[in-house]
Amino acid sequence: NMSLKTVNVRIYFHLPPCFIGDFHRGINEQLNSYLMRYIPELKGVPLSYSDVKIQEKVANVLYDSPNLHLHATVKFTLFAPREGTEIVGIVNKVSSDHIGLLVHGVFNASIAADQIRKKEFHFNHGAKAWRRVDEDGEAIPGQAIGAGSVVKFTIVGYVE
Amino acid sequence: MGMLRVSHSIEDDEAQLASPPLTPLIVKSNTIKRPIDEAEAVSADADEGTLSKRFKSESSPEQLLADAFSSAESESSLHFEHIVRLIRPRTTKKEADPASLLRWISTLSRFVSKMQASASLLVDAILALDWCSKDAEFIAEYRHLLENLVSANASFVQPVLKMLVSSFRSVQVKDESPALLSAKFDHIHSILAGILHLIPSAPSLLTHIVTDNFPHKSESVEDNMWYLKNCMRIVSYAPVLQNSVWLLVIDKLVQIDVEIQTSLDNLDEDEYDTVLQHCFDFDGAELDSPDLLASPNTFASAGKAKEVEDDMELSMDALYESDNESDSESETSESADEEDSDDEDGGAPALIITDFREMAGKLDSMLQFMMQQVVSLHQAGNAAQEHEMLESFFSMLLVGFERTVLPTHKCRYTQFLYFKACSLSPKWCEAFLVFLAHKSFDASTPSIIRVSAIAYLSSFISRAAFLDTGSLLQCLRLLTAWALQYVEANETHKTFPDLKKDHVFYSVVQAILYIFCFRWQEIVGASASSVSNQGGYGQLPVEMTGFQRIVMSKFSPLQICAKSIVTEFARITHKLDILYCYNLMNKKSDKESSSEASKDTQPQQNQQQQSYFLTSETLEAYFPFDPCNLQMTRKFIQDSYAEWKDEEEEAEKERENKLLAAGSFGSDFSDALSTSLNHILSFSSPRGVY
Repeated sequence: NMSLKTVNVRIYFHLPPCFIGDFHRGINEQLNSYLMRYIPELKGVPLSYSDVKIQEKVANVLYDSPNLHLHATVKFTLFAPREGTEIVGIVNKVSSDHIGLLVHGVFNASIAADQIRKKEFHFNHGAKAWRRVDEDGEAIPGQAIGAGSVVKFTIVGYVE
Repeated sequence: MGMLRVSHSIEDDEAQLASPPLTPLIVKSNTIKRPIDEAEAVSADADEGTLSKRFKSESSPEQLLADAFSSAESESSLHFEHIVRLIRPRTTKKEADPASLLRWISTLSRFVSKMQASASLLVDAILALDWCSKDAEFIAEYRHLLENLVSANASFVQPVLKMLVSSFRSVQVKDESPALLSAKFDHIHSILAGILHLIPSAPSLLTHIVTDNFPHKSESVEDNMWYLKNCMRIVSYAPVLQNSVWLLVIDKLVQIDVEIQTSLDNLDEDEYDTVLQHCFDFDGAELDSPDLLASPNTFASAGKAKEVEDDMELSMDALYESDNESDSESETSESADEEDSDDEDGGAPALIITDFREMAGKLDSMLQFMMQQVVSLHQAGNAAQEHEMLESFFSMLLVGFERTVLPTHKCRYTQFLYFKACSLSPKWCEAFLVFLAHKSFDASTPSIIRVSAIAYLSSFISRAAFLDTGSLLQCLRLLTAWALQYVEANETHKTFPDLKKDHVFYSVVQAILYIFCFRWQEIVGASASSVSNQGGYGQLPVEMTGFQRIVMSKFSPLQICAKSIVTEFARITHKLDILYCYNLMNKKSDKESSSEASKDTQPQQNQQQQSYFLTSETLEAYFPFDPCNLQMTRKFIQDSYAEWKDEEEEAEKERENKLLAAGSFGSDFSDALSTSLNHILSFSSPRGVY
């Protein structure tokens, strides 16, 4: 599960007049500004877009506004993890209070200490890692979560 | 009310929990200190009343924090306020003592996962601490805290980055020794690098923050230089910021550049002379030529700068020589400035001179620093064979040029950055020339920009000692061919020279004249050595065929182009027996011209247009690469820069030697250049050439 999905979106663009004769450049500029940011309307982070199709033959200029108004459809690839799904990340920071991870190498995730199964993991200050422990509380050698470990976790929420 | 109820329950809790032994978290901290801490904290809160009663003074940081985070939404802010006051007592206006702060910081690291948006008050207090000037242990703990904080909750990345970048500015660069400063900046950089490493999406936030924090052009040279250096250092570990930071820096350089120029323009005449004499080591007497335009360097006086006065040179060098010396010596040189300016007659000129000197010095050091960056980047790129990287770097520089430098009227010094860059690499030089040529001959570009691009082209070609004869001739060919096309397409309907309509054309012709005046020896020498020409002097080279037709056309370019250039051109061509221009240069007498004009134009055109011909309007002579007055940058580009040599002063041989010694690019370069330039001509159709 990579939490990626593709959506087809219809957007109403308002381009500045410098793009007369060159709509695609204007649309691309605007779409570029959406990339790698969380867009609430799309409910995800666009990673790329393609297939820009302008829906009208001409753009409209309305009343006294100099902007060009036109509809276009775009296909976005979004990173939109859903709450409750499991996802894999690589750890880049551990502390006694949290585990910090990177998902797909670019998105930050963090697991609060409260959410870590305390029966299975204890934090070890010396090793700077969460060590796996067995029923008696003894550390199982060779099993620990530290920087570079690959961890599968469940999404609980986002911070925008 | 609600408050009473709450305080009640807290006291209960505390009664229930056996008050934990006050084991300090850090072995070093003294238990003896604690009561004093608490006493201070309580006394500080005494005015606040309610809070001091509620929070027992015995609580350890852990407890306070645990309480704060576990309390309900409505009360948490009060808890946080209390904690913030402990960290930073308001009454004393400074922070709590270092040992307890250290304890606070380490404790906070253990609560990072709980810090959400509600704890913003606390986070702000943490970020407001003056951690830079504390000891290494504190800084290590602080770094630990920050890294955990952003890793646990990425919404705090922006405030943390803002704090780090603004702490570059909060350090007082004047008061501290360079070693101490570098140490402080090192700390900031290491934390910044650590955070960028943890949060890959952080660099995109940095662009804005770095731009916002850039010192204003009126701030001191040390502020500007240190911030610039720090920016470049950030780029070294966050390469994705390279483009935006470089464009930002070019922008700032142009701003200071223009500031100097506009201030110069606003001076009275005598102030102007004194400033030029003392700041820019320019001989004021030469300014009296009739063709003088606003810029201090006209064609005739180019390169004839006075010899630098020793003490001035020392003071400027001392100011900006090296990183380590800059701070200590800036004080001495500033006093030297004041001493110099005391010699002036009156207070006002002295102040103005110091101002200019400061501005010029600021620009000088920043420009020279950026040139060094370009050089080292180029060297590194070449060594690692990263041609693509070098190409994209220069394209980015060209974007900056197109956006900022080219459209800026009277930008005097920033363009030398490009001059230096082109001298390093034939590819870059070619890219620059092709870019300028494209801009010049593209009919859809506004004519102001085209004229500016042509000015850059001509000035660059004339001054670049590293541009070999072959490329020079290629460029001349392009310019002449275009002008010829223009004449042939538009001459028939011409009745009188119209500067406004044919501005671009006149600029092109002026460009050809200017280049010829500078490098006629190569140009004519080339034609002399070609097989077809047996007699030596006497003919223009093949590349300039049709030039005679151009100057003799109805456009009368020799009457419109700047007088000094035309005079010089006429003198040389007369001496070489190539052309006799003097009759083309003199405007017809007023009576003759007005009657002629009125005969032709009366039925069709109105009075307005007639007056264009009667007023002697000439083309502005703006040459962006005129000699650079800034000391350090001038030294930097000296090897590749061709000064104007008066014929009588220099022997031919010396000139040739100088050009060869400059390390010209060779035949590969001129071949590549010619193919690129050919494209440009083929695009502009004869009919549509305007």
